[in-house]
Amino acid sequence: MSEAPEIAAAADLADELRPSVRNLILSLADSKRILGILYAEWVLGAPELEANIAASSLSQDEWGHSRVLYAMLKDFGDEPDQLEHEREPDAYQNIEALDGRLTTWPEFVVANAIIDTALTVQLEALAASRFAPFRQRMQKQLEEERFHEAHGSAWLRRMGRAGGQARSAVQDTLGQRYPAVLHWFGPDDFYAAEKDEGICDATGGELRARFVERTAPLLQGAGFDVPKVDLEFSSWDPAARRTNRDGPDPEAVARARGDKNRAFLMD
Amino acid sequence: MPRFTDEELKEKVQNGFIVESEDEMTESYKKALITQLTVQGDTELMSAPSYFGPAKDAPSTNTMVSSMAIIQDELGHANIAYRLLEDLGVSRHYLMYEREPHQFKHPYGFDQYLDNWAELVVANGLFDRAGITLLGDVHRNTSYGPLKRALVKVGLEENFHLRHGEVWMRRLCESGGEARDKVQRGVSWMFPMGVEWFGMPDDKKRHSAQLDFRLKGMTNDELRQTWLNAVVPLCEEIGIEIPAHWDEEAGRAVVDYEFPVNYDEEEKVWLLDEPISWEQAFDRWKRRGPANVDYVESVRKGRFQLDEMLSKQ
Amino acid sequence: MAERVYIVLARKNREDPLHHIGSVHASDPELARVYAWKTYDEERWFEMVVAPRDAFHPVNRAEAPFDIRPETPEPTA
Repeated sequence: MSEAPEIAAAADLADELRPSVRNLILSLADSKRILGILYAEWVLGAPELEANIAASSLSQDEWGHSRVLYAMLKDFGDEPDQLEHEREPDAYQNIEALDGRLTTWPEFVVANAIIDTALTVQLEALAASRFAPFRQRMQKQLEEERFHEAHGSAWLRRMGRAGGQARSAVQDTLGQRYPAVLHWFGPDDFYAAEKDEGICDATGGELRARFVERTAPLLQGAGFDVPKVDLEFSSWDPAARRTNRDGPDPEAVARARGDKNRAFLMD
Repeated sequence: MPRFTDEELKEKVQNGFIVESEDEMTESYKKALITQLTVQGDTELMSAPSYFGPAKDAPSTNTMVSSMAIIQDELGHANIAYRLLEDLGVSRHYLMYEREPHQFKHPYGFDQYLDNWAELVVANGLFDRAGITLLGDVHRNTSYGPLKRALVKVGLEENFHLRHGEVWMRRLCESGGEARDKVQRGVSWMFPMGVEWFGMPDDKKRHSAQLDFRLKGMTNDELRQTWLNAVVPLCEEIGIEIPAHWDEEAGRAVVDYEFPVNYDEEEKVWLLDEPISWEQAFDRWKRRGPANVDYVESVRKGRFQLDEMLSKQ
Repeated sequence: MAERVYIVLARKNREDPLHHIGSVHASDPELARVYAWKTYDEERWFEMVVAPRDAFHPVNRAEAPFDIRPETPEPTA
């Protein structure tokens, strides 16, 4: 427990930490905005009516979180409206595992059970932060995320039990997306300075270990193999927490910006 | 062996008796209830793909959240109706996945594509108003206990949809320009659909099992008038033209054309000077509208995809 | 994927009794919990619980209330 005084606002952060805290917030905000867009594609076509309802609720939660996170960036000199409505895909800093659309239900399940949980592991590490805005805003998000994780893991187990192609499709998706999730946490010493300052309570390596501890038993218990991943950070960009800079699916970004209904933007 | 005859049950429910189990129903009561719940469930279900079109492309995070919340509610309401039907022996799986698209019993209004955000909010303002008018009446009057209880949630949420629609219709009209024009365009094709929503006028259809068994309280004309009395003043207030007006002397809204009339589906234009018979209107409903097949497929795709995977072991 | 009906009970405030507010279909209790929470979100519930419908046994009537009746009706003689 750090006895150091709290950091009330962006201006009170050490100069060398301000950009990285700002990027951390943007990374979470973009990931949640895009995850909500991808979840929403299953509001109609999920395998059962109750799952449609859950997908809709999950997407709204993610958008609610992203709205809070974008608003936090005002304090860092960003313009939330610009971030929401003006950026091209290559300016997005979302987790790379969400670049591709969720075109099948197994892909939805992996995003829900695994990728969403990675974001939650990062949020949890901020819940007791010395940076007051984190401490004040993470609790509600974490409460809502409990139900995301419950939904994801229940479906993951169900797909594992089903076996056959349902199981193998989930395993294939894990193979495609799990490496990007592990890389998102960064090199082992990533956020070492932020940890020393009590902003984030774990380094990149520790966050990754927490994530694996949480998801590996779930995956194995549901009958899936945990993909073996060789970590490689030589071309990883610490600001965006990404390796490629193409950004998410352009159509998902067009929706996030509200392109098609720009004429009605007035809230 | 049913406990009551039709005549006995009609008298009992008119005196306030609440039906709580299947052995208290007659065959005709059950049949009328199943029809009512099927229309209700299908209407809620098919509103979801209809709203989803513009909701997924909503102009901002806030509008995306509110419109997706509305869709979530509608799916929940469909689920409630189908759950009640299941308890009456109608398979939920059949209702969701086994019918032909044209066998769904929702109003023709939810067989149409909504082209933009303005049309979504007009649908909230006009179609959800129709929904509340119908379900509010059922909630106050139904003799079926499980439905009366379930409608508490439904009523609460539908009111939110309606407010969403009306607030946004006002906002878009006040901002003028393209936003206002799109509201006008939406109202022009949706208003006559709302007029038709409530079905045949009372003078052409006297007898109604739903009224006799107290599954609802108001006649078609009374329901339509309730809807008109809410929608017409709203449109007049925000300067949107409709083929109806408020009659000061009569103290109610009056429709200015002889309905039903012909509709040009491709142009989304009502031919108000081409009256048709109710039989012709019903034929149009039964043929279903342009989005019918697409909408039904969209609510089923994940189930069929997963069933396909499960069949390949 | 065998599904069961789960009854949803909830109360809004601490002093309130639990009320039967609806039901959901689910293949396991974990999904039933999430589905109930997401489907019946019209209030900020103080407490919500789910139970399989066939866990309810009628006491004074031949059948449980219609919306909580057992999954498989007793075979009639």
